[in-house]
Amino acid sequence: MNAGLSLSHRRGGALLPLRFAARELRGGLRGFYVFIACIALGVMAIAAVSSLASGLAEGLAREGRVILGGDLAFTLSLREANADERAFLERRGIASLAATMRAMARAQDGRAALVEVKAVDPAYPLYGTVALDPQQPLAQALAYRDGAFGAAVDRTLLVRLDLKPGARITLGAATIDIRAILTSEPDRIASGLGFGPRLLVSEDALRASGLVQPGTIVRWHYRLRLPEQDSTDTAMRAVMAAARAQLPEAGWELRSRANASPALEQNVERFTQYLTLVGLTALLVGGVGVANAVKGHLDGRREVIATFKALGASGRRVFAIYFTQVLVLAGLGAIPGLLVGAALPFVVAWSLGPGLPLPLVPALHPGDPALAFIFGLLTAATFALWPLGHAHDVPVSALFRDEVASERRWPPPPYVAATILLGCTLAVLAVELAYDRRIAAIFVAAAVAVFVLLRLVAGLIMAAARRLPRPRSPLVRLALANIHRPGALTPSVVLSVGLGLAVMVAVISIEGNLRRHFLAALPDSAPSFYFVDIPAADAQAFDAFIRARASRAALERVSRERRARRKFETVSGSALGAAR
Amino acid sequence: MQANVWTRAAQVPYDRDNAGPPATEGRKEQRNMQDTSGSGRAEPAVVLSGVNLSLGRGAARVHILKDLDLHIDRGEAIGLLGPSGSGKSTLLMVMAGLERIDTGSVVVAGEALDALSEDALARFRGRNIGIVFQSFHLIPTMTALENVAVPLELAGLDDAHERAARELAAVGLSGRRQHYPAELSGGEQQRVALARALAPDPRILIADEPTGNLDEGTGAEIIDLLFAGHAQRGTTLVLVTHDPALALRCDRTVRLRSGRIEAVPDGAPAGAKP
Repeated sequence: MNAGLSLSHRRGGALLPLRFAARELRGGLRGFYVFIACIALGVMAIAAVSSLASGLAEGLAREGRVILGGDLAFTLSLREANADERAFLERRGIASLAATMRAMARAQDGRAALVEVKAVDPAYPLYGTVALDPQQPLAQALAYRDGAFGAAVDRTLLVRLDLKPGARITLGAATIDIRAILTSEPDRIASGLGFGPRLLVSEDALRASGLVQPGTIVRWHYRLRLPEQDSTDTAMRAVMAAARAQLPEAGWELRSRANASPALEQNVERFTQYLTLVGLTALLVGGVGVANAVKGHLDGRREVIATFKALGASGRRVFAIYFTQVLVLAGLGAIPGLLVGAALPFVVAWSLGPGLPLPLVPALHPGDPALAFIFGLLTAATFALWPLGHAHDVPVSALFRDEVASERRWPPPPYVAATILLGCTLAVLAVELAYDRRIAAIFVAAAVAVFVLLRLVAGLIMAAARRLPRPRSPLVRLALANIHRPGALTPSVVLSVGLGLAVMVAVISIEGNLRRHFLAALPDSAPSFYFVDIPAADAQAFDAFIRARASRAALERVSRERRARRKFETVSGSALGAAR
Repeated sequence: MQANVWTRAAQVPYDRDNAGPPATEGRKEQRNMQDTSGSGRAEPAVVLSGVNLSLGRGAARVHILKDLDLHIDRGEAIGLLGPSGSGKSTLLMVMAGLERIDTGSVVVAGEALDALSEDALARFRGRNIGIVFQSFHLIPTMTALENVAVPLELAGLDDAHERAARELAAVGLSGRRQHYPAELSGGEQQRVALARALAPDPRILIADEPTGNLDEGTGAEIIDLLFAGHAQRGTTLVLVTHDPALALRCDRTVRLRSGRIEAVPDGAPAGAKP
């Protein structure tokens, strides 16, 4: 007697969705290429950004003392450290001086170029190495011999002044021999942007140049290398505290190896945030592609889904099969995406090599690609849930009779709830991991608003098409009907096109805003040239020189005064000339 | 094992040396088994009472099944006849638990389907109902063997593929296990579909015009297999057909018109028992 399936010989069906999903994929990936590309690109963007940022952060952390030029740096502007301050530093470790200023380097043929002068003492560099071409000890390259001080320069200076290594230039009153090309300078990043090529000379050369006058803009960097046995972070903080306590009037800027380049760190973090948001946007736009691809796929599999159900699969089982398929496909997209993204720092470091002006330490940080992978899967799941919810409700009746699919506009409530939950998880993750949560929250809110707005627009278009009078042309009538019929593609088309346009407009707006930001920082009558540190005695002669060569140029003179704190005397009146 | 018994019977059309009339004899055998069950009347396979069902919404809503009563004994084979739109397919779906009724009650294999949740209905269907469609509805990305194994795998059986292989052998398709539906002829596809429907040893086998897409000769082979399976396993068979001659092979004929069961004409091979 027939008794249906025996309950013995049963096993758990945990792997069944995977097995069935794999069989479903035998049909090939047609229709899923966009899906896979969307996820791959989004994941790649996020993985690349976070891997690069981690590499830079690690570089900054590991190379902090090299970038800073010491464990601690004490910087003074316009004045040198006094005897008490020097004594304080020398008591606590090896101190080194690096003075920086801008000046004009002049070739023997009269050509001149603005240079970023860096004058160092024999202890420089405390950490890292200076690379010269040809190779030679720094002290030898900078030494005074044959009536001239030595210098190492950026190759750019040679190009600008049409010089060759070995050429002689003047810096103020000092005669300088260019003895080497400076190929690597360990503490360069912390110097920030330069306005001219580097001219590395000795402290003696700078003093011999006569450029260091009262009021001259010179930044005096005193770097301190703590003793090896006492160079812990605690010891470092103790020195900083002592400096503030014992020399409260010094007015120097204190930095430690832990924040060797705050500006760079901030830039790296902002860059990470901005690009992460770009990556998320890519994923978001890709999510619409995912939803469309899944909907298209499921529409084509309604018969198979109905067959599964006729053979004993519940709606939940059907959902599990196709959800697994979506996750497998998302994985297929995410894995190459994260591999490429994780490899990017290595590629950048390899291709740019020492020319990279950033302390990039390429390393595999599993957390970064893992996070990108999670973002990819979450996006795929969030956007696939809605169409998958419809699969839950595919009627088996389609197998018995031809019928127009009367798909409900909303999937069953659990799928709506799950979609909202996953969407919220994605949003919270994006906000929580952002550098600036406020911006990330605005981004998320804007994304949701755009979705809602575009859906409303689609609804309006459908309503308008429904109310239009029926045209005579069958072609136009059919086209209109396709806009508003049940299951019309109008919402997904409007969403895809609208979101794509929104992203393009956003990118263009951001670019425009950035440009305006930079331009706004410049006054309308921004000078074409700056001439700095013109001695007051030469001001008249300088004016005459300019008038003779550019009679229509407008000259603006800005004088700078510094009131010496103790002597209460005006020590300088330098001119900043501007010609246009 | 049931499947082995049927395997021998079902191979008849392909094994002329062992040819015989197993379907008819098997059916008699089954009827005799029922008769000796003790009470004189076996537990009914399907009982529909006062079933009403409408489909569609608003102005498009159509009353398909109207106050329908039907009683089908276990092991019985009934032919369901009627013009297009009379409600035959809908009636099959109601029996299979694929369509919820508006009023009335549906009891299949002793289970009141109205009381079951969607998941429970799916499990019930997987265990108790086998369906053969006119258009086969094989899953194109699965081999013949995998297609037959689907209901067994959904039911969580460890030996799904072994059982599926036996079912395929029973319909004479051992050599086609690894073929995909697109690589099979229409007749072969329907045989795979029949093997799939019978693989879980269902209590009720529903066939919706199973020869509708086949030529006459191939259709006859399928019908022989269908009746052989019914007879050897004691499965209740509900066969929808437009062919009165085919309906005559059933124990009883039920004719539907406009959602109601018509009175059975005199001279029918078996009386309707609404």
